[in-house]
Amino acid sequence: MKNIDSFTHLRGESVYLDDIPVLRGTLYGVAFDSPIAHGEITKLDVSEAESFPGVIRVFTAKDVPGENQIGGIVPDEPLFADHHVHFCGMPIAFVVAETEEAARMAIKKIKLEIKGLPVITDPREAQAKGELIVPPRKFVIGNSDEAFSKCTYVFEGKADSNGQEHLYIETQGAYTYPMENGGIRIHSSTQGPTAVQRACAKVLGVPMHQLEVDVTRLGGGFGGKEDQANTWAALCAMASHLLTRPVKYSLHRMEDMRMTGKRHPYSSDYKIGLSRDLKILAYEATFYQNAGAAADLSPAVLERTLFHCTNSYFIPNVTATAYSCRTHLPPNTAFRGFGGPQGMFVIECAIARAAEELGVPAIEIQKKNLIQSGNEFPYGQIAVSEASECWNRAEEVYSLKEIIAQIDLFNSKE
Amino acid sequence: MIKFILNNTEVSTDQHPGTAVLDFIRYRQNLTGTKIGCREGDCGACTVLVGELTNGDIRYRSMTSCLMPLANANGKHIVTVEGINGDGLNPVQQAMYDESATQCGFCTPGFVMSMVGFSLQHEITNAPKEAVDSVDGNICRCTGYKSIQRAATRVGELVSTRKSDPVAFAIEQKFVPEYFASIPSRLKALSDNLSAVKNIEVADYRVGGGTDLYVQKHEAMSHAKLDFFFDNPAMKGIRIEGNRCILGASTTVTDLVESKEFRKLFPDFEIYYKLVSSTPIRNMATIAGNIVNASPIGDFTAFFLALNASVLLTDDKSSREIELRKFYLGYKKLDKRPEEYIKTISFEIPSKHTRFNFEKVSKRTNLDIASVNTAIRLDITEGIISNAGVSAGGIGPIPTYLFKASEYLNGKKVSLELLPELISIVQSEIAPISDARGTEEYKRLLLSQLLKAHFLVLFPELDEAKILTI
Repeated sequence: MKNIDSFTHLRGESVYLDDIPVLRGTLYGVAFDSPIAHGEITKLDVSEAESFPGVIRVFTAKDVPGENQIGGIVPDEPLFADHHVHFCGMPIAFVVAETEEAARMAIKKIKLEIKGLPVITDPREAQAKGELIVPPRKFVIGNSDEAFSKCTYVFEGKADSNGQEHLYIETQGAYTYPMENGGIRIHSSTQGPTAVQRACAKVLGVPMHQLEVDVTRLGGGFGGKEDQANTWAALCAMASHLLTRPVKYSLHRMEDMRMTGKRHPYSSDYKIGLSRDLKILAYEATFYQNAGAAADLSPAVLERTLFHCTNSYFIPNVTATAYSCRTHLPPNTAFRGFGGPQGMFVIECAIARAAEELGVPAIEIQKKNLIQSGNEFPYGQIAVSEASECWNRAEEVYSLKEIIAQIDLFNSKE
Repeated sequence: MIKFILNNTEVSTDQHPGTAVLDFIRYRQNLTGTKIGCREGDCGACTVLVGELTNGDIRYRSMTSCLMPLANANGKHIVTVEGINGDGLNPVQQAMYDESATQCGFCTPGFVMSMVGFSLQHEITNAPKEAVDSVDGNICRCTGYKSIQRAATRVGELVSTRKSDPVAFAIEQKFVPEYFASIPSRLKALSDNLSAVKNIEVADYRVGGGTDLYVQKHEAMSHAKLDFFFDNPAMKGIRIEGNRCILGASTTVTDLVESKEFRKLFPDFEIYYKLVSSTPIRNMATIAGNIVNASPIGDFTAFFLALNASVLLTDDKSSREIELRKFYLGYKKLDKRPEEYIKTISFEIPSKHTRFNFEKVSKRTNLDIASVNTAIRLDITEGIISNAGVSAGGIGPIPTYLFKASEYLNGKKVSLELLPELISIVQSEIAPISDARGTEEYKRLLLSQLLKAHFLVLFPELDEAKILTI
């Protein structure tokens, strides 16, 4: 099966956001963002930027006709910083000019004074201070406390996984223009057209039907253009709405990397208990999700972490707790796996640790504990599982024994 | 007025000569097949081909148009994906199609251009491998590289059947349209009424290939006062004079790669240059640029430091020669007045008694900045080191000639017993810092290991197992 766009992709004829022919009168916007992670704005003066040659308007929070709010799951994310900045890269103003170059030069004329406030980047610190995005979630099956007392082996540890930049090769962007009867068409490089439509309607204070969101294709997304596409669409749509002009903003790579959220870093604790014959009897995990400054998709990502906390294994006694912690990073967001990898990583760390301490290969513990049909996941679903068949087939297809023998031989040499 | 052939059309423009070719072709010429990914030469989405006549012969090279000033297009043939499109798909496009090597498609035109550039390359020895190497400057984020690798291998297999002139073959196989046959004569005609790009006498920046300036000063370049030397004939050329090899300041890495004289001096040059950046960047980056950039991890700076190279500085009134190892005074601080510029770089050519090696460790193999790099040159007569030069980068604020280590080796008999003392001396004369490319401790360890690597490469007669346990 071929990608139906292959022909035009290969000839460079596929149209991405920045390739859309611009309409007469198109203006260019650039966001002015916070240089620090947390602070109180004591002075914001855009007058010099506004009088810069070519500049049409400089928008700030006070210009928002509807609500200054783009949060999807939780309404906790202002489009423009108003009084406070919550992350480095948070939009404070939007400069709209006749050329992109003028907008970029005018940005340097904005005068901003911010009083720095304490910055939290560690999710454990945020949790200790009660800075949570949503109340903690807990998945329980069996009784892990009781089960640990019956385990022959118990190991505890900490596992951290870091963030990751999406680096879609096409950066974020939007191109918006007024339609008849007060409507606005929004071209957005987004994975979530409805999220864009909803966020823009709220910011503009218009019903959703007045906004048309058009997405032909994206030059990569990987989760980074779900809720994170809202900002640029809302900035452009607002400017189009207030100026009745087409407005475009295609981000530079550095702006994109600075202003957008990434994969959630997690810091987690685990406790694993095994029987003498290496059956995992009990497992406890506490996940501290680094959500960044606003909810974005963090609560949903957090749930997926819990859904995957025992990976493909059956463990009869599990207590898994997850905290979505508010820090001063850009709001972290969806990224391939959507929290699943962060959950699976911790159980795999626990197994690796047990294997190391017990002097057995980790695959022995993994294979012995694969979930079987009829077993229950910690969230109550009864498994229909092909895990063991899959494992056995993989051993055969990839000649696992020979690979292990080769590795052992290589490692036995100096 | 800058004039060049863009695909099949002659264009002339009075745009600022510092405008990036990428912006010109996308926003002035509406050729949107060339994509903007990073504007730093890292992703390759903006790759174009640049054709140039040398001695009546046309050569095409891939370049990242985001880093290329319009001035460097003057008198050349600039080819974008629109310029290679025929009626359907060309063999590169077809191979990518058949192997499902395109998904979101944003990086795709860049890959296509790199491979078409390969099909036009003159020297080809192992085509399937070299076709894959030709995309070393392109990043794909979703398709997965295996399908692209399979497509490139197929392209390579087709090119390996070539028996004729590269352009004639590329036309015959429909890699490029027929108009390519007319380009050499059109470039010749163009060169007859071409005016050199007017350089500003008191310039803000001297621009070579643009590979660093356009990363660091991207916004300033389209209106700064610039002095371009990339195409200045007086700054070009690689020549041997007596026992010295002299490189013009605008010599690119690819010029070194393609110079038979230079390659003769360094038989293992292929191993070294493949560690440095990527094909399009090597096609643009100048040696003088690498040297004046003064980056503590400049790869070719380390290379030429070990050779104890000299640079010839001039302000057009007077000139002076300075040893490269004395050129760096502090972090990004040079023994050079603002009006001075590098005219040539020269070094004593290695004799039959000379052994040379270059090593580099970076987080990725291709297109990455070194954590630590090092070069070594040893003249050896009857088992005794008569003249030594050791350099290293990433271990202090400047590209460093290791004076004490070099001195220590002079007059010594080659033996693995030298290594422990050499390593300890080197450790005493370096001062790495912890940064994104590694901790201080790691960089110290790396350099020690790379010194051992030098010995392993230069003295295969020594006991490998013993070197590794030092």
